[in-house]
Amino acid sequence: MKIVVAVKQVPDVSSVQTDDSGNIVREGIPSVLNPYCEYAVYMACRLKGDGPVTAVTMGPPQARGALLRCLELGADEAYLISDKAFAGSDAFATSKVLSAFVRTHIPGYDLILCGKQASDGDTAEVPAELACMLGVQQFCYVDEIVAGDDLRVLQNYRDEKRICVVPLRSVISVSKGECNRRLPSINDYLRAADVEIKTLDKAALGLDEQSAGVKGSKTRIISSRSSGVERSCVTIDGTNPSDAADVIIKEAGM
Amino acid sequence: MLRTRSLDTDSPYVADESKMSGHADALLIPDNEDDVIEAARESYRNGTPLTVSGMRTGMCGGCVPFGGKVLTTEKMNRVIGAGRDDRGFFIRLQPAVTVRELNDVMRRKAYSNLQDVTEGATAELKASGDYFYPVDPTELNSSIGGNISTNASGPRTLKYGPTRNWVRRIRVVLSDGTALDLARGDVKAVERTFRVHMGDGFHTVRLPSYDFNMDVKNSCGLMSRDGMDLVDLFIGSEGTLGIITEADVYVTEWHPLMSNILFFPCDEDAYGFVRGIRASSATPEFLEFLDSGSLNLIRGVRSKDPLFTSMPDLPSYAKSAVLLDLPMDDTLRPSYEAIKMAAEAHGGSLDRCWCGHELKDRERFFGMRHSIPQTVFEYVAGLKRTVPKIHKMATDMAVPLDRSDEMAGLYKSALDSYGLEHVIFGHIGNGHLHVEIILKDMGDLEKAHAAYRELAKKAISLGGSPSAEHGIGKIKKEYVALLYGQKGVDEIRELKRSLDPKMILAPGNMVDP
Amino acid sequence: MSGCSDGSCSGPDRLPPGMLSKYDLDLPTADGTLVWLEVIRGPEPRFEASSLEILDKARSICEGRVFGAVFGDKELKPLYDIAFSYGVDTLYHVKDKRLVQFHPEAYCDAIAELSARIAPAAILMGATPRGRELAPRLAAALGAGLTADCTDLSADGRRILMTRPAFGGNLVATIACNGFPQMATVRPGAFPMPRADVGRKGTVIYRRYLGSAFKNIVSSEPVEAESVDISKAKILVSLGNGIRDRATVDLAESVASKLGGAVSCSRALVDRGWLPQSRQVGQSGRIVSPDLYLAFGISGSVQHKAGMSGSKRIVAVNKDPDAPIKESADVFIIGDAHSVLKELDERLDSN
Repeated sequence: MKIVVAVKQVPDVSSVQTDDSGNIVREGIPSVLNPYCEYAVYMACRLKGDGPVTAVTMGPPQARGALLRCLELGADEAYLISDKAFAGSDAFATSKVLSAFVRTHIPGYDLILCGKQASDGDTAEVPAELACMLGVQQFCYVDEIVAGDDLRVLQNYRDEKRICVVPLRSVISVSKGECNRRLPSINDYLRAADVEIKTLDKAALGLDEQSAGVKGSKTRIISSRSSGVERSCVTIDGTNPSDAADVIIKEAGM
Repeated sequence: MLRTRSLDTDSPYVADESKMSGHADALLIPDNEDDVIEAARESYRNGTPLTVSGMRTGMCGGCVPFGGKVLTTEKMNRVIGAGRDDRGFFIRLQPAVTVRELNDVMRRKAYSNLQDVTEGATAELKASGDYFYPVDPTELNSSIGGNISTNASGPRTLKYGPTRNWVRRIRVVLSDGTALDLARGDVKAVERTFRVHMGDGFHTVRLPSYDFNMDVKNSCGLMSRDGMDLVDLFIGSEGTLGIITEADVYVTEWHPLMSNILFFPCDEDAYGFVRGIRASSATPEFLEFLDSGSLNLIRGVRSKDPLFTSMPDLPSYAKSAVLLDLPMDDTLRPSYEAIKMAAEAHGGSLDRCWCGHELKDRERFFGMRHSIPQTVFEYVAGLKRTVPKIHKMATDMAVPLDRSDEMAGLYKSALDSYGLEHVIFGHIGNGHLHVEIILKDMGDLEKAHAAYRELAKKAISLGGSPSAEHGIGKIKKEYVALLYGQKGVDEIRELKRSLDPKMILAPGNMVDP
Repeated sequence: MSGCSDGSCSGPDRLPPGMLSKYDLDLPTADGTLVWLEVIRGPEPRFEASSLEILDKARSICEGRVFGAVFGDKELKPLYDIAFSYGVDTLYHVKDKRLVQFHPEAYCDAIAELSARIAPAAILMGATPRGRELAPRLAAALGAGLTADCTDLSADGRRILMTRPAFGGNLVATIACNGFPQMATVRPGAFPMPRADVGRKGTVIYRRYLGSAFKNIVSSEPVEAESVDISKAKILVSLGNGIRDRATVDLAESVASKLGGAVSCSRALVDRGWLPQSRQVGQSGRIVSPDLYLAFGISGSVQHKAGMSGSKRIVAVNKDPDAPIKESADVFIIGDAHSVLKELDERLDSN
């Protein structure tokens, strides 16, 4: 199966910290492949059969790191869509770029996989927008994909679990993040490092200044502020559990 | 104003990671060097013992007091400034800054609040690439002050050497409250003698007559060499000669690394692989070994807690493992070629392994390595509830590289003959394996002491050190005599007396007072 | 495509899902709010709470009518009056047995058709799993801007200012759409449940769905709602990665029940399989706002804080004196989670 996996590089939120005034410290925060996307790559590689699995991301040049990770995990080829004109894209503009990529570069694809949401933006909008723009079905909240005579997915809507048959060319967004993410072998790495990551700009996708980035977006951020609620941060020595229990019982009004 | 607090017997300030616990009359919490001087003067006047304590991550009871007062440096935890000299950039800091904090500052380039020790250094550092402090004592929450006092080392010692190699300057408060500001190169011994000016005039400090073994990793006893630097006398002196109140440590340019773990069918294959790597052109930054017992220890905890070590499941064929970091540059592929040959000769391969280069992954590798002693530590902590006098027993012996396999065999046969359950892991690249004994009761503890004595003698006879990096503290004093004889012990005690006439600083560390 | 039962719309009746004709709804005349009313299916269907919560807000910030859209068959009839009583003026019932099940493509096509008719200034829905799946598809179909999971909405004329937490809840961003209709999904519980105005009247308009954008749903099973809803608990005893012993979870359950609260957790415990996902607090779990949040052994990752920062009081117990949760706590207790819970359990017995 020819599978496209659309991925995103995100700041490693597990190492994001806040400073004394509650603001995010962005400097020196390493970037990683979004965990949900990582799982999508893993699923794609299990499904691919003869393949190939194509990883694609839109981002700055350093997003190559995320693509390298996809290749290590078993993707066969990788595209980096990088263009200054694409900076500031919202979900609509991002989906537009990705749909243009699929149409121009992998028109004969069988399936598109995405992670449910990116751990930084958390909007979870791209998979469905991409499906709509490509005019295909979408399957969100997918926990499992089973390939037999046909392709089936298990969707989990929290109050309902259902199994659907997935037509080829659909978009699937997976909602699992693995608890302990996989590691490649040295051979996996060496193979990945040999793959050339192809870079595409707006011209390669047939897009112009207006169709993506800030200009192609349908939303704009008016303002942002720290949400830091002032907390008193009183520190108490609870080496003696009884002291700790005193405080908690009082807080609970018991 | 020096703050004082009373101490309970179960206070964390009277114990360290060895799980040895002591007692003290009071806790002193200095905010700055003046407070430390006040504390020293007061103790000196009254002749009361003063034990300095950092982050209490030591493994030999060095910071555990038996009477007198404990001085915690924990409030002296500020990164002060940055400077640059001929060798490169250095960071000036207070003693309780931890290795993790120091590296965080550099990773985030959080230099804006730092002073310029030399003109323009912080701006220059900010504009340069990423820097880091390369001595990796495994326990990243250990304080730099503690690291200096014990000359800490760790896996990366293979490439970077121990703490000693990275100390540029220290400020140290002596027993009578005299503060010394010592940069490397300022004061050299004349043969084996220093003259140090204290409150009551010059003191003659005679170095021991033994030659400190620097061919293997060694933290046994005070350093002693002809013409050595006074800074080096304080490094590794375990708080017995003075209290470090400030230090300059060099940092070095960070470069991308690839972490790897290769799995092997048995311990001997892993040893063979390491021999193969040493003979090859590969240039690992460290080589760490995990034996079958270590891997089973990890499997055991993971069966209850899948997040333990946060790694994927260990493959069932893995009966031993070697961890190594490689620079991610042009040397990587040739190194992998060499690793392929060495691994395939010993039942491994480039498929039977994991690798990772993102920081997140490298931290996971690190966590996995650290999980072995940590698991044993938690086990002993649990055992302490029923066997209160138990403490952790970890060997820390280094031998010359060509005797490393011999020593590994001796560990196994000695411990098996005593019937002690154990795991072997550690810095195989430095001929420095750790053995952790899974003690069950006080009987085991006795057997362990006997086994250790036997093994320490063997390590010494192979040209090694019975205490490579953990230091002596209060738990391993017998090794000092083993290595240097009674004469060496007496010389160390006399040296201490020359700087600490009332024998008040960290009494009981290294030698009996 | 939705049916043209009243003959007011034209266009092909059968199009593959998503292949909609180009809508241009960015009209200066756009007015009113269209809300997708999500129905919880079962023997007695009812509205998902978040759909009703939006209605009141929609009335208060937007001028013009409030339009509702529901999908299903005649079992929805009893719900009409409820929709009106919570503020719907005109209810579009897309009546089709097959649409009792959630078919995002068909729902999208039908609502897009409605939008073309109504030209609303805003389209809102609850940020439930289905809402967050349907909304982006619809946004793409309409070329509309969409803000996900908003915690507040306000109006500046016909412009809606949408507030949502960003970057794990550390920042609050205010977002606006560049055109009409403006779309948002609203976090369940962000607005209080309004009081029903019983007897309030409205109009029902039936629509047929003539499209074919149905999924092949092989089977569907309801998932028993967990008896514990952590988003409604007044006191939460929350456990994190620092909890090393499974027995501590039972201990926490005991303490929580004695306090009249519930047990929640950080992601680590879900990953370990010690507690179900429904108990997870955080960015990828539930957003909670209890009166008292007791965090045991939770270090306080940015994602976790995003889920609990709305708590009135936060007390954290952690062995690590530098655990990042310290900054977010009202009281930070340095201590061992298990021992403190044990002590609490015993003390609450004797109380």
